Amino acid sequence: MAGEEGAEPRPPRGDRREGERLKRQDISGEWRMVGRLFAALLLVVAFMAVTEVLFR
Amino acid sequence: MSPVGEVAEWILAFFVMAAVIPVLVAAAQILTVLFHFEGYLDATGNWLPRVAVLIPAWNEAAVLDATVDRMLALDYPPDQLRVYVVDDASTDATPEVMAALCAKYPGQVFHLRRAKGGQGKAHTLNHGLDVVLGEDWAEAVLITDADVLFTDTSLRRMARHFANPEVGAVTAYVKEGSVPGTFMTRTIGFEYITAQAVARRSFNVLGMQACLAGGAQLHRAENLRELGGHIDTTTLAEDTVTTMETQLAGRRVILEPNAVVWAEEPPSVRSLWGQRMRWGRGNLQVVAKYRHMWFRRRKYPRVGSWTFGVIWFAVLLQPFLLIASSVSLLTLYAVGNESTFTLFRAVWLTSAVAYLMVIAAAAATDPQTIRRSWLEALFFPGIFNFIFIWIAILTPSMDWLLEKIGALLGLSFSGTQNLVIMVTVFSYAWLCLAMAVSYAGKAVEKVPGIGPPMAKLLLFIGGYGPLLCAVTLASSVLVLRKTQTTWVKTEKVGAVRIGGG
Repeated sequence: MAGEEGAEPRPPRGDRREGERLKRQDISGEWRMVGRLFAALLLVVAFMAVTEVLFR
Repeated sequence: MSPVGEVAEWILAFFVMAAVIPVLVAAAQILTVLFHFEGYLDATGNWLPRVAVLIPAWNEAAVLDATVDRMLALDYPPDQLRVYVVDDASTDATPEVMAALCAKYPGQVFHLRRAKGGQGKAHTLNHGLDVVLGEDWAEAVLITDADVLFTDTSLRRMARHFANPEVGAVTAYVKEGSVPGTFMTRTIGFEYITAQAVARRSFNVLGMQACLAGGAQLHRAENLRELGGHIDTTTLAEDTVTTMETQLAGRRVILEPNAVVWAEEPPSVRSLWGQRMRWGRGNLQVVAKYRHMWFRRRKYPRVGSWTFGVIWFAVLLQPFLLIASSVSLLTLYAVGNESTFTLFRAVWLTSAVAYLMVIAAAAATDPQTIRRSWLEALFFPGIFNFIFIWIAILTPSMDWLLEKIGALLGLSFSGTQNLVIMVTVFSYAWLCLAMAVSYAGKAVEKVPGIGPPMAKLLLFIGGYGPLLCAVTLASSVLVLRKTQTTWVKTEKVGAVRIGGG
């Protein structure tokens, strides 16, 4: 069983193509999420900067 | 002013600003999510272990059919999947429903019935674990709830992490899926984006997890055996204890954010209060149980790190920090300290930035849910806190605001007027009062007729965030008073649907 010290993981038993497709899909999904988060945080910074200039 | 007075004012100023510690911790966690690329998938493989699904059930006849059907229709090899329903001596039609399901799926669905029930979920799970681990068929055990619906590829996505021998357990992203959705369930939906999709991604980046979701935890069978083959029954936070034990044994716990499951969460303030009191008391029991572990990184890598300890205690101490901040503000105002408003604005400006960051992070990580819960997201802190946040962002000072309002109304406000003093005292005290108002919402909800709408109104005024702080405070009081620990099952009505409402 994988998890025992020194043991190698067993060879995969499922549909390899489906697993790889999901992995590719999730990798691109995470990159898109990080991109959206970065853009959203930039918006927050820009908003705070604008309010600082306009209202202080 | 005497040196003693000056020192006292500095100490009070420190306590005022201490309220922003949990807020800064939350903001820092959001920033770490920027590093959640594909790294968490690096060591995954197309790994499909034999999975025993363990469903504890007490009077769940209404939902078991759909849950078991759904589980066996997952995108997972049928011969690699078995479902064990552990019936905690149900008094409804659960035995009949299970007999039909066992006949429908011979060799795949099993009914394990306890003769005597009511001891809680952990005892029920242990009954099932005895059987599942004893059979030696399962390579992985999925612990879930009777009302949780897994999306098609969720199990496959979770299981792939076991290709990495370091991984002991994987949890999924639990989304609130009650239909029709209510103010409360949509608010919980928003909370789960921040508490799961964001915070647990952050923990993935940091290399540890605080807690596996109770309704979606996939364990390597070997991991459970090494933990003694049993779930902890000494605390109310068995999921957290399993998470801690797994990591203390040197294995990793991971969130698979793309494995989405849908669950039904409490529809009312009272039922939410009961659930969160259990969690709150459980978390305090965890603090005591692992008192040797906190902030000892060398001896306990990951969970003993300062990072983990600060995040854990920031949440736990938040209500106490808010009270200290509020009391300190009022004291400084009473002694005529000139920096009081500056400190107040600093607290709210920091909170405002964190608030905008939380909403931004929620929108970025789960746009689908935020489209449904945007109103609940905006008013998550409560209407007054919402106002304070926007005052902090859009106005240079309270005096400036009152002057503008006075000009609009044709009145002249000055610092000596009673109204100004009242508004100021109310503003400074609100950090505490918000918790009391939210608690009042829980208290009045049981009043027939007017109770539920009043509870909703008070929650809207006090805020969901302050309600959670009130729960933490109340659970601390119960632990300090050593009130007996009892298991109270969260009320469920079988309203969950994939996609939510």
